[in-house]
Formats: sequence, C-alpha cells, structure tokens
Amino acid sequence: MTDTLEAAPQAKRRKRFNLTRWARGGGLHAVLFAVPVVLVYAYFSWGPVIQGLVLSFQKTNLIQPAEWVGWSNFTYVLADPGLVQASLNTAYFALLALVFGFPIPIVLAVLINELRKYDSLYNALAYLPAIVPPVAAILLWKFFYDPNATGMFNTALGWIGLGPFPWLNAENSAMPSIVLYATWAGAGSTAIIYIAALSTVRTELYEAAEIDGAGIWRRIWHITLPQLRNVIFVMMLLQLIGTFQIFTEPFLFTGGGPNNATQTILLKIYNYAFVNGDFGAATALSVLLAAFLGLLSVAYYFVTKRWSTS
Amino acid sequence: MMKLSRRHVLAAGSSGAVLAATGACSNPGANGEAEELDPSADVTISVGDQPTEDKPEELAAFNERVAEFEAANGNITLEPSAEVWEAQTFQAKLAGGTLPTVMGVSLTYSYELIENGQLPDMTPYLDELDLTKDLNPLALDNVKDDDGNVYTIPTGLFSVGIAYNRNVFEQAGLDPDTPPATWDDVRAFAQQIKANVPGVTPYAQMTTNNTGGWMLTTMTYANGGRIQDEAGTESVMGEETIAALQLLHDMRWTDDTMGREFLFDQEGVRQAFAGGTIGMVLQAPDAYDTLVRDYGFDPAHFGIGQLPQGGSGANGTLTGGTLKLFDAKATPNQLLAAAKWIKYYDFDKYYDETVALDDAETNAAAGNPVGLPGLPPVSQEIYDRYLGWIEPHINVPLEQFASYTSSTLPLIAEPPAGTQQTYAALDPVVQQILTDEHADIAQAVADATEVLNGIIAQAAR
Amino acid sequence: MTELKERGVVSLADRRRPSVRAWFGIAQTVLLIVLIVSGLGPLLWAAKASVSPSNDIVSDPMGIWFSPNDWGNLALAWNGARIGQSLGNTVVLAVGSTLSTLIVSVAAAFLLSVLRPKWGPWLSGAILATLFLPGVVSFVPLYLTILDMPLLHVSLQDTFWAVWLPAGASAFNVVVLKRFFDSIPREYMEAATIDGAGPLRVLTMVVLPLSRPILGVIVLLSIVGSWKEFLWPMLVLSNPDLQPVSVMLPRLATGNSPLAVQMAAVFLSIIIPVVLFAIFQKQFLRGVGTAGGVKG
Repeated sequence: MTDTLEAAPQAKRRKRFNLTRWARGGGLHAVLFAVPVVLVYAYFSWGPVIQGLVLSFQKTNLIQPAEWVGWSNFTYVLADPGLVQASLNTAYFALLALVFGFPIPIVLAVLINELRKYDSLYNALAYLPAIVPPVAAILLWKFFYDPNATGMFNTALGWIGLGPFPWLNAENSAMPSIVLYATWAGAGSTAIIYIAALSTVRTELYEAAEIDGAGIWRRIWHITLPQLRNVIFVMMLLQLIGTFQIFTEPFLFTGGGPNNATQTILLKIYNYAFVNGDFGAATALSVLLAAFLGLLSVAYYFVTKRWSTS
Repeated sequence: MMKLSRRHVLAAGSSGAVLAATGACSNPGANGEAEELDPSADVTISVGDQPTEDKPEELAAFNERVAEFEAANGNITLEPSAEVWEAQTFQAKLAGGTLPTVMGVSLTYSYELIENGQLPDMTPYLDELDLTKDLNPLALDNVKDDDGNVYTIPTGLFSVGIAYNRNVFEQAGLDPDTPPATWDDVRAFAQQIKANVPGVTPYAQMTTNNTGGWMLTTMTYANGGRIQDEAGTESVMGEETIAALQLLHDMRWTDDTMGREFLFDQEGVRQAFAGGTIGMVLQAPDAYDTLVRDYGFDPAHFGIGQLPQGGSGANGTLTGGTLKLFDAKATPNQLLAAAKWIKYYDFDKYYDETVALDDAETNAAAGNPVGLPGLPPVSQEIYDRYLGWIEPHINVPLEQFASYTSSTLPLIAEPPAGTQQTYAALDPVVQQILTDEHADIAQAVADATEVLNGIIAQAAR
Repeated sequence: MTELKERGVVSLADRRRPSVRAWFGIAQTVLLIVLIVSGLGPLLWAAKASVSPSNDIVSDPMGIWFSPNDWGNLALAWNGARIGQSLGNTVVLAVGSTLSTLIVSVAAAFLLSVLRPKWGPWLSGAILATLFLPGVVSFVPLYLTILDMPLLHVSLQDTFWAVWLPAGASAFNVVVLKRFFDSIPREYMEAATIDGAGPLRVLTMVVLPLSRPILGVIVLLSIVGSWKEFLWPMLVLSNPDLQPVSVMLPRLATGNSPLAVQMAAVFLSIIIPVVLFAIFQKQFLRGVGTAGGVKG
C-alpha cells in the first residue's frame, strides 16, 4: 500500500485528509469511536461496579449521609441462613432448565425442519408464546396453576385421572412449575434459531451417511447435533447467563415461597435493596455473587476451550 | 376551607401563630433549607393516591375534591399522582425521591422512617393547623420520636379481626351472628364447615409479601406473646408463636381445613373471599370496602368478629393503619400545603357537619361504604359526634360488625425494629408449616429468632 | 408448502417407507396438537376470561360454555392499564435499547477489531472484564447512577434514556461482533481504504453489509430481551405514562381490580402483539431465520 499507487484515484475524493490518519493507524478516529463506548461503559458498567464495591462497606438510605461500616454488611449477608438456600435454588433452576428446558427446542427444531408442508404454520405456532408479553403470560399461568381441584391444569389432568397437584404451593413442586413455565415461554423462540441453523447443515453429509447405511437416529446423532454444536454452545452460554438473572418468574409467581423454595439470589438482592431499603447488604451480596461468577467464568473458559474447536 | 380555618382559629385562639414561629426555629430542616415558612406564598405539591382510570367514579370524586381544595387555597397548586404504596417498590421509590410530596403508606414503616430521617419533622405544620391535639393519642404514639416531635399524620387505623362468610356459616349450620371467640372455636368451626360445605376453604391464611409474618404476629399477640420486646432490641418469640404455628399445622395436616392455596397475599385472599370460596380469614374491617366495592361481594354475606384469642383470654390484637408520608426533601411551604391538603382530605369531615354530610352523601350515592367501623384517627369524642352527623347515610350493615365493634381487646402496636423485614423473615416460617407436614415447628421458630436478631442488629447500626 | 426445500435428516427414500411414514405422521400430529394447545390455548382462554364475570372465571375456569356478558371489562382494562399506551412504550423501549446496543457494540467491536489503536487491549480488557458480571451485580449502584448521573448531576429517572443507555453496555455483543469482524478478510477493508474510504465509510460500506447476519442476531436478542424486561423498567420508570406493558400489568394485578378486568388487560396485551405478529409473520420469521443462520 503505497501512496503513489493510491494517488491517481485518490485525487478526486474528499477523504484524502482522513486517509493519512487512517494510514497512521487510528489516531483521532479511534478516539472518536471510543468516546461513546467509554462513556456508556463508564457510566453504566464500570462506574456502578466500583460504586457497588464502595457501597458494600457503607450504610446509606440515600437521604441521610452514608456511614462506613466495615465488613458488617458482609457478615450480615453471610449469616443469613437463606443465602445457602437461594444459591442452591438458583443452581437447581439451572439444572432443571438444562435437563428439561434445553433439549426441547432442539427436538422441536429437528421435527419442524423435517416438515415439507405447513412448516410455516408450525413455526408461527411455536413462536406464539414468545410474542406474549412474559408478564401477561405469568399472570395467566399463575391462574392456571390454581392448586384446587377446580384449577385449570388440575381440571385438565383430572380428565386423565391425575392430580390434583399443588403446583406452586409445595416446596418440591414450586421450582419445577416455574421451569415448566420458562420452558413454554422460551422453547419457541430458541427453536426458531435452531431451525435456521439446521438449514445450514450440509445435506451431502446426510446422503453420505445414508449410503453408509446410517439410520435416521444415527444421522441425527452423528451429523445434525455435531453440526449444531456452535449454536448449541452459544445458546447454552446465554441460558446460563440468564439463569443467574432469574427474577421475574419467582417474583411474580411465588415471591420466593413457599418457605423460600423459589428464593433466588437476585430476588434476595432485590429484597435487601428495594423492600428493606438496605443498600449496603444488597451490594455486599452483589459483590459476593460477582466474585463467585468470576471464579465460575474462569472454570467455564477452561472447560469450553477444549470442547469448542472454534 | 375558609370557614374551617376560622373555626380553628376560634378554637385554638392565637396559639397557631405562636407555635408557627417556634416551629420554624425548632425545625433546622433535615436537609438544611433555610427557607422561611410563608403560608401565603405560591406553592406546588404533588399528592398521591389518585384512583386509576379503571375506577371512573372514584377518580371523578377525587378530582373534584382537588379542584375544591385549589379553589379554597389560591396559592396552592396540586398535582395529583396515581402513586400508591406498594411494599415491593416502596423503598426504591423513596430512595429515588420520586414519590409525591404526600401519600399514604403503611403505618408499619413509621419507626423505621423516623429513625432513618426519611420523614420530615411535621410538628410545626401540624401545630400551625392545630391538628395534633385532636388526633387519636394511641396512633400518635406511633409517629413521635423520643422528644415528642410528630413526623406524620396517621389515618385509616384498624385492628385485626376475623372476617367470615355468613352464607358459608349458615350452610355449615353455624350461627352467623356468633364468630369464633377463641382459636379452639376457629378450629372447630373450620371442621364443621369442611363437613358441610364442599368446595370452600374453611380457614385461609395469608403467607406472602410480608402478610405471613404480619398475621403470625397477630396470632402471637392473640396468644399473649410478642415478636420483639417493647424497645425493639431483640426477638422474644416463644411458646405463643409456637402454639399459633402448631394450630395452623394441625388445621392444615390433621384436619385438612385450610384448602390448597398457601401463597395468599392480601389481594389474593380478598379475591378468593369475594368469590365465596373462603369461610374465615384474618382481616380488618376495611376488607369490607374492597370486597364489596371492587370485587362485588354481597354485603349481606360479610361478617367480622374480634380477633379470636388463645391462652388465658383477652390478650389483645394487632393494630395498624396508614401514615401520610411527607417528602423529607420538600420545602417548609410545601410541607405546610401538604398538611393542609391532608387535613382537608382526611379530617375536615370530622369537624364540619356540612362537609361530613356532603362526603357521606357523595359516597353513599357512589355506592361506597359509609360508616365503616374502624379505629378513628381522631379522638373518640370527635368521632362519635361525626358518626351522629352522618347517621342517616350509614349504609354498612353495622350489626354484622357487632362482635368486632364491641371488642375491648387491648390494642398492641407492631414490632418496632425493622418491621417489614421482620414480617418478611416470618413469611417462610408460615409457608413451611403449611407446605411441609413434618416441619419442626420449635426449630423453625428458633431459626427465625436468629434471623430476626440479625435484622434488628442490622437495623440498629 | 415449500417443496423446494432440500432434504433434511429424512430422505425421500425414507419417506416412502411405510413405517417411517406412519411414525412421521404420528409425530407431526402430536406436534401440531401440542403446539396448538400451548400456543393458542392460553390466548383463547384469556379471550374467554376477558368477557366473563370474575366469579365465573374462578368457579369454572375450564367451562366451554359461557355467556360473554361483561364486555365492559375490556374497556375498563384498556383505560385502567392504558394498554395502548403501555404497549407503545414497550415498542419505544425495545427500539431504543436495540439502537443503543447496536451503536455502542458496533463502535467498540470496530475499534478493537479494525482500528486497533495502541490502547485497544486496555479497553478490550475492561470490556471483557464485565462479560461475566451479570447486570444484577451493579444493579443497585446503577440505579443510583440513574438517579444522579456523576459529574452531570442530572437524573434519568422517568426518562426512556434510563432504559436505553444502560442497554448499550453489553460486553457479550461486543465479543460476538468483534469475533465476526475479525473473520472478515482484511483485503476488503484495505481495498476500500485504497479507494480513499475513511474509517466511517469502511464501517458502513464494507464491514456492516458483510455483518448483516450477526447484526440480525444482535437485533433479535436485544428485542427479545427488551420485550421481557421487567425489573429495570419497573424501577426507573415510575411514571405510568412511560411504563411498558410488563410493568403496567402487575400493577393492575396488585391493585384492587377485579379478576375479570385483570384478565381483560392480559388478553389485550397478548392479542395486539399477536395480531401484529400474524400480519408481519413472514418478514419476522425470515428475519429471525437469517439471524439464526449464523453459527455462533
């Protein structure tokens, strides 16, 4: 890339001045691109993280001046017997969502992908739950989960001789009920992404496998799933990140009950801060969570480094 | 409004002006504005609790009163806001400073808000309006600091009783005029309802959004116990709380008289009650208002008795109510205007027969309950006079409240330290008893005591 | 009816085999029933509940026969929950958040992948460091930041900016975009540079057009995320005129509104997006399709 080569076509263009800077490797332009990035991150990401660290050592209600209180927020949060349970609940939700919620969209996608007629109808139907505003859906489902024999689901299951189930009203079925809802709400939109990814699977591979005598199941197992690996990897990452943020569902379905069975870490942080007005305890728990997630992400990195070939 | 001011000047002589002067001195201002109090300066305040548009009649009535108030007080502009108190977001909004200049919140917060400096000292303004002396002294105790300064105006006071469906009682063969007087009665009545009225939850218990702890506290009081000591320095739950939980456990697991829904909060339980599927539930008489007006419950089926008692007899019941939260960051002129508005909106009817009659007529015409029993926010004497004025308009079937209104139970205040947190920490205990047959009650109470002591220590730092 | 579609796992030869055919037919039918029940069922039920009296909803939720005699519920819900306005707010929030995410993430990724200034690694590290910190962790201080922006001392509370701007700080999107930008052959950009294009032109004429699929993914994820957002708007938008439908509905549910009015509000907030979806279904699903076409 020499200037002489460019010179001829360049003369007519207005961008000559910028080009020199560009050739020098960034300079002012890089700064201009960095400004919105740095501003947004400084205000809404780095700043709050640092402020969170500070707040976790303070007592403040935002009306009276803040006081330094040392480690007492941390000891208070760690002494709360509900913390262990909230952590276990969050992990339990992650596990249930992974075991039950995760495969369903894949199955759905593979099935729909095989349809040769009306597949857009199936697509649209599958996507419907994602269109419903989640909060509206939760209000509906809360009603469907009526634990009385006259409740929606209990009536329907009663027709085939099952139930009545307590759904949200028992410690051991509350979290599965929430996962069931979350699966319903998320399956369709995730499936659509898998369907699109499936269309990129090279069909020669299927033909080759078929010639080698591989049956339908073997083809799915040995060709379809490996070809989807990268998408599955991304979706799983997104789901894991989402799991730690689970809030809306327990907040609206159960408020964390019964007996803290659906209490999650985020719900706890929320309660500390916005119900109890104890911002110190809330940020202290946030800092602990951040430390934990830091460790987790290091572990995740090493595990997936080997698995993901990209 | 003019007329009322005169009445007060006559009643209180010139003390108002004097107190206003001292008030201005004794109010260094939590936030340090040195602005002089000037009752006639132009001022704009926002006022909460405006009804939403799905209740057009109430909204119209509210707006009319706003217009009347503005007409009577030329210098004050009101900005109505539909903001209402909600436990789930209240602290965030309070911290964010987005609440109106004045709105109603649960009386539960009074100690905490005063302690944290989140309420302004209202003494000078209340004195200026000469409102303090007529307020119900019992309620006033809840909103004072150690020096006797008053921080808010308590309104809408109540004590907890037991609401029941008279129709269900009749179907069960129970006397609808005789509510359960003891917890043993409650248990027996529930069994009788279960045997005779299918499809009804004989006794329902609230458990979520802090109502579980709230009602467990009430039941503990009924058994003669306490949740915290009087000063709020430690949790003192004991056998009374255990007995209350044991009763719930037995009714749930031995008798099966508590239905299947164990995640009720206030709105949920009232909706179910209005749907006729609940026999008995702990409620204050203000439930009547919501049940009848919002949920279309048949007034003839509503009954309420005094809180059933346990142990040795008349132990008492829990009181609560609403307090008017004034913005701690408002200017003195705004605070005075806000106090005037509250006086106009909530208190004038107690002092002025015409206002009382107007108010009663409007409410009766709109189908709202008039003459609903409750603890008066003003002194008994003034309240009786008021009841005399509005008697012809009373549309609430008072005889169905007889057991409640004739109650002489001691009235006990809420636990003082970290009240809402205390309730929140007790929610899971009640939920556990109702959803886990083999829960160890004594252990659950012991664990909860530890949590409560942690909350108290954290609040006291 | 797209017969042009290529074969999938099941080949034409497979399809001719009777056993495969039978199983396929069964799977297809079961799938259809499941999808209808789960996709349309709640919608139809909400439709019914919205015009029924409250007590009927409670006492006989599965009743097929009902008398739609409470049409007033819908009007009360429309006005009380301001469904029209709040759905509009939801759209405004989603569009704004998506734009903010796109602008910031594209700028950051372009900076780090193409411009590569000397201090790039520092910025990159600082952004990456926030990758695994979910928004939760800085939730409270972020709220405090909104209430009083440091240095500027303005409050974003009760403005759409309070939702739009924080949405921009998405490290995940930066990483995804940067990886994609890295994969674009440098020759294209160099060629454009030789033609005299400045960085902005390289970005808009070369990088962005080539990145359309990944941008589609980011737009989609951002819209879906914003559509679901509940906690954050609930906190920063306390003015009912600005609240999205997700905040408005629970407010109605915790207020003293009769169940039938709540259900009417739920129905309205479902049916409007569903109708819009039905109209724009083709474009939307195709968009999602291209979006998902990118592998990771």
